[in-house]
Amino acid sequence: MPMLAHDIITTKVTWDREISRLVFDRCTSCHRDGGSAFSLATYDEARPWAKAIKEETLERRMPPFGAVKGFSELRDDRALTQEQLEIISDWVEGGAPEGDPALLPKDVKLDPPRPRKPALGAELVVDGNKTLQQAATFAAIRPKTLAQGASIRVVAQRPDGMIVPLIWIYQYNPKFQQTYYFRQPLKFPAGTKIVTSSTSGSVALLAPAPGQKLKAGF
Amino acid sequence: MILPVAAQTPAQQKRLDVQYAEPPTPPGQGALDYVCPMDPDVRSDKPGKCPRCGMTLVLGIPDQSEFPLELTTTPADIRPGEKVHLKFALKDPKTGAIVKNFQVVHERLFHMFIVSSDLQYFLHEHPVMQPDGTFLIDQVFPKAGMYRVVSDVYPTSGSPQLIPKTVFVAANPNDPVPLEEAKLVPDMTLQHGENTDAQVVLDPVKPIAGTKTHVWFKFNTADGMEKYLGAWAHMVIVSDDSIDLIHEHPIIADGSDQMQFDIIFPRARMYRMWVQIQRKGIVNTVAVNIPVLTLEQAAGINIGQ
Repeated sequence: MPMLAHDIITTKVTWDREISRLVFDRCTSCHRDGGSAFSLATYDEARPWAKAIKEETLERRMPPFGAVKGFSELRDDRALTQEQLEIISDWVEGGAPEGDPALLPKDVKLDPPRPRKPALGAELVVDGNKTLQQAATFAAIRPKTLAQGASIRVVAQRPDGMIVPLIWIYQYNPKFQQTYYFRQPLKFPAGTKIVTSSTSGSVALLAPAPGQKLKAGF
Repeated sequence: MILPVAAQTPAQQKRLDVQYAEPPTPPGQGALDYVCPMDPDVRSDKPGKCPRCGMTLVLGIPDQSEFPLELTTTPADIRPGEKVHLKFALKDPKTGAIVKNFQVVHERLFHMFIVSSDLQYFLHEHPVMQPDGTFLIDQVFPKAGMYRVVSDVYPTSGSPQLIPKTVFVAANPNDPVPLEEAKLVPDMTLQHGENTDAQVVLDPVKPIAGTKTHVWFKFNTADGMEKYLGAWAHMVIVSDDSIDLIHEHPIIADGSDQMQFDIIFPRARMYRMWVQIQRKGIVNTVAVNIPVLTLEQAAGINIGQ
């Protein structure tokens, strides 16, 4: 019988168990037939991309959420956790096996609806540092003029000395520019200083839309 | 949440076991493996404990849902050298309710790691559970700066969570906000622990981002090694920009004078690696700084040699 060459499988992580579930949760809203990028929805489609999937996720370029986890708390955080990164790299380094198709998840939604985001109001642009002249509430933040590849941390330093993390953008990619919504709106007294770690770009803080009821959300 | 295969009654589960026992299925290939919730590459066709970390294996496919964690500090403005009360509340991702049911992981319900952003300060502690499901601990941050606070918890309704948070410590309200990154220099020299010395050995000698590195720790003592919190060692790895926060256990260890970890460093930059082991009742914490290269950099080095 002729032998076909294949990678030696050294992992127990498989596409049909763990990886497909991760991909459907974090990748196929774009990476699907009819989506904005090539499809990763099946093993046959994803397997040739295995090395690229590992590199892009470990470098945190994909999924292109762009904000570091666990700085401020953001709604609908699409970034991968460290455990998810480890599962992906274990799978790829172990030969990216398919596993048992019977274990694929049932009733998969490749592009499930995203949680609704609150409406936004006035924008405050911060270029370097800025001190709030009056009390303000912010529901969201977004990069304004930021160079491709730039990383920036933004914090609020309240007059009492408390420092509140707002956003940590890692290696900004303007192609995936987006607005980041705080899990709950943040209120700051007058005199609060907005501080950025970089002079090479600006961010915009966004107030909730007037009359918007302030609710916490994931 | 463990997906429905785990929700079987014992009788159903027995039937499934029989069903999959014939024909015999090699571990790792079968449909209904027992899997370690913390080390998903550890599988067994029988129930039991993970040989690497000691956790109870679960049947089925663990759900990787993220649980939000709220960290509040009292006072809210943290000063160096002053006691601060940390309160953690893990929230159910579907209902937002505070989670009250946890699995014990390594003999504790909650492991907390704190590292300063210059990566010179490291702490492994265990906040205490309250009747309302929150966890409390008093802490003193030694100096001004940014700290990453990493919580390692296992909600019964989910999978183990390793959740980073960030707090800032400032001496005075108007001090400049410390936003520098760590400047690590490679250091893989012999490290002196509390009652043993440790030497790190790497294969490949120059680790490459995204590929497996074998990491051995060799100790100058062969006697008196004990498990610390249910494992032969706990390892925490943090990148110099404190974005990658990794918690590992040895893949091979037996209480002798050496142990092996298999690590995939995510990116080509400096990493600091802390290892905690216990000998004769005393916990040893040692740390090394490891430079990680791109494949291209590593190839250049090999050509140059």
